[in-house]
Amino acid sequence: MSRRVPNWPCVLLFCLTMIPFARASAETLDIFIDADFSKSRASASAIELGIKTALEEVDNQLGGYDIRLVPKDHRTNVKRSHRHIQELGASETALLMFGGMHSPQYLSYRDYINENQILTLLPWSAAGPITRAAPGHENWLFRLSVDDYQSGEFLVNAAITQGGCQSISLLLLDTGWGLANRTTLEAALAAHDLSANQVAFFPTSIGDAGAGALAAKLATDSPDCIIMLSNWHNGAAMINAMRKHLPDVKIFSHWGITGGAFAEQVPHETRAALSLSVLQTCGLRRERDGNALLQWVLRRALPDAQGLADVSAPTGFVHGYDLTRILIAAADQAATTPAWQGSIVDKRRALKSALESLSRPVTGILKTYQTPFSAYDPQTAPNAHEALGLADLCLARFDANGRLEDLR
Amino acid sequence: MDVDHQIRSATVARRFWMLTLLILTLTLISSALAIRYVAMPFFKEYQYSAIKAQADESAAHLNSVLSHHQILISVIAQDPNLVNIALGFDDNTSYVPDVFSALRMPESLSWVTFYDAFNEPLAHHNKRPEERRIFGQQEIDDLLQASQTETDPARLPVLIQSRGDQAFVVLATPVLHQGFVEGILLSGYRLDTLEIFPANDIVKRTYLVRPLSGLLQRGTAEVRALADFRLSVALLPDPLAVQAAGHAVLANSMTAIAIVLIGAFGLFALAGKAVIVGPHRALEAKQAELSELAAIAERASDSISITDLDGRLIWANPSFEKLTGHLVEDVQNMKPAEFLQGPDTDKETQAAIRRAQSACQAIQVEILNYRYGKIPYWINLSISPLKTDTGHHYGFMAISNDITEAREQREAIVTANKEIEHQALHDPLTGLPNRRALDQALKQRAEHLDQPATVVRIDLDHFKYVNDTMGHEAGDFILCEVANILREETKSADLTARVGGDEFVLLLAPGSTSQDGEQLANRMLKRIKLPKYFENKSVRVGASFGVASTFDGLLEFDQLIIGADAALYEAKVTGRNRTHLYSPELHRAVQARRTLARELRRAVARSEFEPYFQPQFDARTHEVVGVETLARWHSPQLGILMPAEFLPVAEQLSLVEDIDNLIFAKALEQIDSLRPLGIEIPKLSVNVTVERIRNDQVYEQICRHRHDGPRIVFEVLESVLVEEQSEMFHFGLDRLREAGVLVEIDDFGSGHASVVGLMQLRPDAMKIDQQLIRPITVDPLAHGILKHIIGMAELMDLQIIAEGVETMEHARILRDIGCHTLQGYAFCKPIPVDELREFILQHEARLSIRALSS
Repeated sequence: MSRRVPNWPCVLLFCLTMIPFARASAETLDIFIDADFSKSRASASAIELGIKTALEEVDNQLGGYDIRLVPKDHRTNVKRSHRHIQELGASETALLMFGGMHSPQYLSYRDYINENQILTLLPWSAAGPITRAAPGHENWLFRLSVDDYQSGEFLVNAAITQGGCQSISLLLLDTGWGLANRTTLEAALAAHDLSANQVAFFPTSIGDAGAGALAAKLATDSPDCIIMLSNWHNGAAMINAMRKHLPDVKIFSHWGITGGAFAEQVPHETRAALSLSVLQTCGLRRERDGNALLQWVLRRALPDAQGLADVSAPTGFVHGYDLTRILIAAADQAATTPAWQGSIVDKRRALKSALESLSRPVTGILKTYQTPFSAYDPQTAPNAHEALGLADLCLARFDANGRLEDLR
Repeated sequence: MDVDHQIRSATVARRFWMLTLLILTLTLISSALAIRYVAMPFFKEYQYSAIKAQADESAAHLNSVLSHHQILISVIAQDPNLVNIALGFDDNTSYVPDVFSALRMPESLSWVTFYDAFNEPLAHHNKRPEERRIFGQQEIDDLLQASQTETDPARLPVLIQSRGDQAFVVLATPVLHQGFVEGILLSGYRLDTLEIFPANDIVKRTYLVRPLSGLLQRGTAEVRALADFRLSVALLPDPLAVQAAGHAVLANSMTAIAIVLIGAFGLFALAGKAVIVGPHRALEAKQAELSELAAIAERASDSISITDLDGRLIWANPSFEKLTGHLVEDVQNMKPAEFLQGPDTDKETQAAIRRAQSACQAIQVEILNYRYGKIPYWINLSISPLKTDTGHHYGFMAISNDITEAREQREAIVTANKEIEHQALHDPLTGLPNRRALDQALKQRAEHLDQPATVVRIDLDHFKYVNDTMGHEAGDFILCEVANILREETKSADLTARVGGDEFVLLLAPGSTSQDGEQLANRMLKRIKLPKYFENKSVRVGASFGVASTFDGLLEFDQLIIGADAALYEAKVTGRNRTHLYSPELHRAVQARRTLARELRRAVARSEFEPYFQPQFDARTHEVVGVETLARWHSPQLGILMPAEFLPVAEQLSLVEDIDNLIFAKALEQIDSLRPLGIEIPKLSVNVTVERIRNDQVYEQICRHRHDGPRIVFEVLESVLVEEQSEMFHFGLDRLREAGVLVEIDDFGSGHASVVGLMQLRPDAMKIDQQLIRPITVDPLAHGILKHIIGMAELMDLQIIAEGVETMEHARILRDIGCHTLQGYAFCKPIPVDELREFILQHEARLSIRALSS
């Protein structure tokens, strides 16, 4: 009787050859970045840089899966974003989507996103209704950014207390974002027993001539302050026109103007003459306070940068980084559940649950997030998907070199 | 012998006619062959060039039509609301159909579809929707794809389908947001190819084709690509028509040549008949005449005598006896000089007669003879030598007649002529040589230009004042005093001439320089300025002097008077009572004026003047209600010149009317050329002088103008209100009004602003001068004055036009105080017709979109 002896060299060879197969079986998941990489390239690139910097800290892995970032350029077109959302919904590998600086996309397709369980993380979009799901809907949109339901109050307070203004006009972009802010701004004014002198809307395609006419119209009431909501290129046209027609007015701007080449198109003397203040989260203030994490992150992301202001859209970078840190923590928590091994839909749901119930704090640049998000309820917890609050908002201004600096 | 003569003449005549006919026939045949083998190839080449030219023209015309459509759609594509819909910010799908329904779109537009960035149709505007189905979905998708990828292609992609005489074209216009294509407007058009490219003698049919289509492979087609669209036109020449045209050219050329040759040979034959046949017949008559001559000599009233070679009388007729008082038999064999001439007979004349006789030459003289040896009388004497057929001299024939009386009359006339000539060359008042004498002197001097020549031109200052205040006698006195000064100060070799009322010219002696002229002028001025006393009253005049000399090398002799005139003009304008030299600076100024004048004449001949149009707007709606025509000179040498730069010289050259005619005709033609594009200008204003209102040609030009074209408005300057106008002016004005012309008063408020004049002239409108308009935003007084002027105009039921409207604030104030029409840089500067076309299309589109948005 012969005894069958295992052929050890063959076994070893089999094991060696299986190692690469085992690594290859680790699935790669996609994360979409739905932003304007063409017309507002600075903002989109800053967000992408923040996300990349945070992911590199965990070897580009979430809960054991390799992560691939897929930029999706929507070019400010709402419909193009819709297609990206549809593409993600149909994908077997796309886990979630980061948004860009724009809001109209998610205002228009909020219900679609929630109905189709598209996990969406927003590091910049500010429109209030985005993270407030319609009654009867789940809420799949999470934000770490300014919330216009709160920013309106912040800007009005700033105009009255810091600007000393009693006569205030509103100048708003004629999109869903601008329309939504009108309500919150007017409500904030009403809380101070004030009403807007004028409420003026302008289209996204306004040119220099149209901006001049609108500024002249605003000048008829001689307001002390103007609160402006705009993207950077329309904002530049409007501010240059106001320098001519309203040379003494003070401008408090929402942060939409910081996403592009605004400082190149509006000269410093104009910015200074109009006391242009820009709403920001408090990243610049953290930098001034000597935040060590910020310095470390910045050194890794941009070794040549002297400070946060060297990032062309620092808001996107800081928010992208902090939000990704929260995502990493949520993924680690979700990976401990069986659903994480299920389908892509199961993974999304597991991640959503983890985001709403993080068990340990997450350290970010802006602050340490104890429980950044919680379960949403329109009645009892309307701000459950907001990682930031009124206390996290600051004002900034452009220095002579066009870089933002904290205004305290 | 006579019969032989006639036979020879008939033979010569017959040969002459046969030869002429033969040459004519050969010439005609050789001409026909020359045209057939030499001219016909040129004609065919010419026809080929004509087909190529028509192909160029057809392509340019179609390009213009499609560009026009493209511009209209592009304006709509830039509408911010439409861009918002493309971006998804707004989902108002009825906006696009509403815009197209509100705008006045060309009749050829069949349908429009608005696509988003993903080629999904968002909205339709359907006028003839069935024409959209002519195009397959695939080719529409391809067009959309091509337009999405290229934002600014050199030639725009289009679709084309033909059905009989109709071509269906689809244009794709991108909707851009920050330079990126975010939507497409597809617009479909139906074009009538027969209307756009009418058939003619050489082209049977013109097709619209895509590049590389099958039609292009045909060798006979002439194909042209459009400049701005990926489309070509192909012309198919008509070979039968081309051939028939060739035959017609051959036949017509031969007919013309035959007519010319027959005419030319006819003239040649008539001349030949006169030169060759005629002399034969004349000879016959000559022989008959000779026999009659002898009898005539006998009966002649002139004295005729024959002498031998020694001059002795051989024969004389009865008139000789009557004239001399001698019988022939008494003086035969005597020399006539011995018995006819006496002590006062001119010896020189006698010697001349003798010399002529010695040399056997003919001579004619006037000489004093004596009848009966004592009564003197003058004769006209002609002496001719007589010779035989072989040339041998054998005597002389003298013919004479009494001219005593005629000679006396002639001498009286000579004396009278000398007196007339003196008067013709001198000024009767001062006795100085006049302009004619000066001209003669200049002419003579021009023949001897070896020494410098200098001219001083003098014009008295304020002489008219003397005439007007003290009478013409005082004026004449001053002229004589001045003439005396000129006479006394000049040398005998100088010429002093009075050439006008108070104008004098000195032509200084040869060798004089401009310094001589200046010193002389200053001496004269010093004396002229001294007071003169007429009837015990002091009279003062001054004088201005212009000096020009060839010595300075600036002028040729024949330009001296003009140069002195220019120097005199400078003396006048720099303050009078002074002398001015024709200096290098003045020379440069004169040369520049001359260059401008020369260019101006050429410019009129070459039609270099172009009308520019400044639109006029309704003060309330801002719709274009008319245009004012303004002249610009596009000079190849001097660039674009404004009227102020060339009108003064044009007036001096009497070219203003030619320029006005040119501008008016071009303006009418150019404004009419906008009608096929759907642009109708309601009113065309032109600036006119009073003379043009009276001008018959202008009236005829107006009558020829199409009745459905713009109303013609003549703007006349305000000064016409105060100038006394002739019956002819009022007749011209009424005639123009009956022909439909409106009359506006231009620049009201800049001059006399006569209200009475306004009431008499009753213009249709009043254009207020821009000096009154400009300050109204800052000056309450100007604002108030303008309000009152408008109130007055309203009373008189006049339309008010404000020019010089520089800002929209001006426009608002002018609208509020009642101006009807506005014109100025706030809206549009004066522009050529091409820019006017673009401006009006965009302006109308903007107004419609603004109306829709509001």
